[in-house]
Amino acid sequence: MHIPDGYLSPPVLGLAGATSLATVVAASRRASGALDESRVPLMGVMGAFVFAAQMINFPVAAGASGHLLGSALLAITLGAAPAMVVMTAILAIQALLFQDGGVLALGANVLNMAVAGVGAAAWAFRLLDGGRRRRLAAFAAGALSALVAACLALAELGASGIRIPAGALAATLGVFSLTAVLEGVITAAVLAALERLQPTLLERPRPAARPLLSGLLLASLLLATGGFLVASALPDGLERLAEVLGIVGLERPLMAAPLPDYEAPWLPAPWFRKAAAGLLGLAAAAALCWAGGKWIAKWRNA
Amino acid sequence: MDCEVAQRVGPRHFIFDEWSRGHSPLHRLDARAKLAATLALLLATSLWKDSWVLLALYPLPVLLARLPLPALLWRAALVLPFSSLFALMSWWGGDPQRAMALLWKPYASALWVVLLMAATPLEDVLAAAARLGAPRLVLEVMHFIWRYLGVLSEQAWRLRTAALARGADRSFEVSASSVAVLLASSYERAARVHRALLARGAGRFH
Repeated sequence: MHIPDGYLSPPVLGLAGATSLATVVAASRRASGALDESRVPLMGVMGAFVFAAQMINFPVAAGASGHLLGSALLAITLGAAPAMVVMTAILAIQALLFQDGGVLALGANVLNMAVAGVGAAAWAFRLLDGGRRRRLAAFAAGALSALVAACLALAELGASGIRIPAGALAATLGVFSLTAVLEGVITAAVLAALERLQPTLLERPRPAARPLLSGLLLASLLLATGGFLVASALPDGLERLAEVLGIVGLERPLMAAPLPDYEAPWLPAPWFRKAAAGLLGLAAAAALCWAGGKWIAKWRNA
Repeated sequence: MDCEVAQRVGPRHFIFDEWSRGHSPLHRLDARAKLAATLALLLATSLWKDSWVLLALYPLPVLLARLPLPALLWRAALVLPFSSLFALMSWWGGDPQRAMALLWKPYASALWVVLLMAATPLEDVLAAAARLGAPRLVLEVMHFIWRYLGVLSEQAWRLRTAALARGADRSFEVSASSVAVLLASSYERAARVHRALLARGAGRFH
């Protein structure tokens, strides 16, 4: 799901943009530092591959058909950091030349699909891969990447104040779950076919997996996404949580009126403040998780 | 590239290559200025609730650049299926004013992006973005994607035809193996591209 321009509120745009810019800069540093220069043409050609592969339809029940989304397959074949860079480039081309997703909203779309989607796929695959479980790992990577990206997109829309009726939200979530399952099945099928065709392609040295850390990160990502989605759907519960945590008092001076024009009649101010509180809470939780992860990694390496 | 195949696989994106090679004051303007102006217009569209008045100016640069106005208006309409879906949901949720904004804001934003890309070749936009500080590796990958999009789309189209002849409309496996063939040959193509670049004296990319 590519979010177009004009949908997201400035705080959501800013936070998503800053997060994805920082991640993509770090990922491109890691991708160009760890890999030799032959990988730059490879990354470009693989980006074009994702576009081209979407022309090949996969039959689903009742005459409907789907196609590959690609972020999980990229994460598995290229590794997480290069796949994030390639996915970002794909999203930028789509925004500029295909009118698929907005240019200002690029930060949010990169966060959903290139950062969270690729990250979730890479973690899931690394966690589960091994011997006969490869098909399961590929399925989990594909399904998770699509699900995490879609839930994040819905959460961003919710945080921007777009209210979706409960019935429509349920239908949307149902469609997203089906898409996620389909992406998982396609990723697993393509990987199985690739192993029959050219078994050497996927054999590359992997860094030793850290199942505990990866599991923790994956669980926190899922929790944050799901919890945030529920919170956006039920803002009253979120407000209570904000009161309990004392965020409400904190968030008021911060959100006083940086953009008074934006608090337009069609944007109910309390909702806006609640959404901002939610985002602030999410950012704090993410920072805590990151710091905790760093500490665990240091402690384990010591 | 075979012209007929090009029409089939990519009438949607090759049109910008045609438009952006024109000669006009707008085409000659520094790409950085055009990029910055587009971003400013997008911000205005996103933040100002009456920003549709800016669209009254839209025909001016289009006519100045001798671009086909109806084709540009139609091109930007690609955003409408998605935005009308969420506008409908918002309307149903009891917020008609927001529903209207969800409908016209993406369209107005797309109009400005279409104008930028119709008046500026992609490589100039990428060079401008690099000079404005965008991550270079991402821009290089974008360049390669654009260069090989047509080549790989043509190959995918042939694979698709072959797969349909083998019953891909019924068999998941046939589609999966077509994508796997495309992936493996993309790897080989990338290795050939790299050797060709080295043979022509390309140094490190960074």
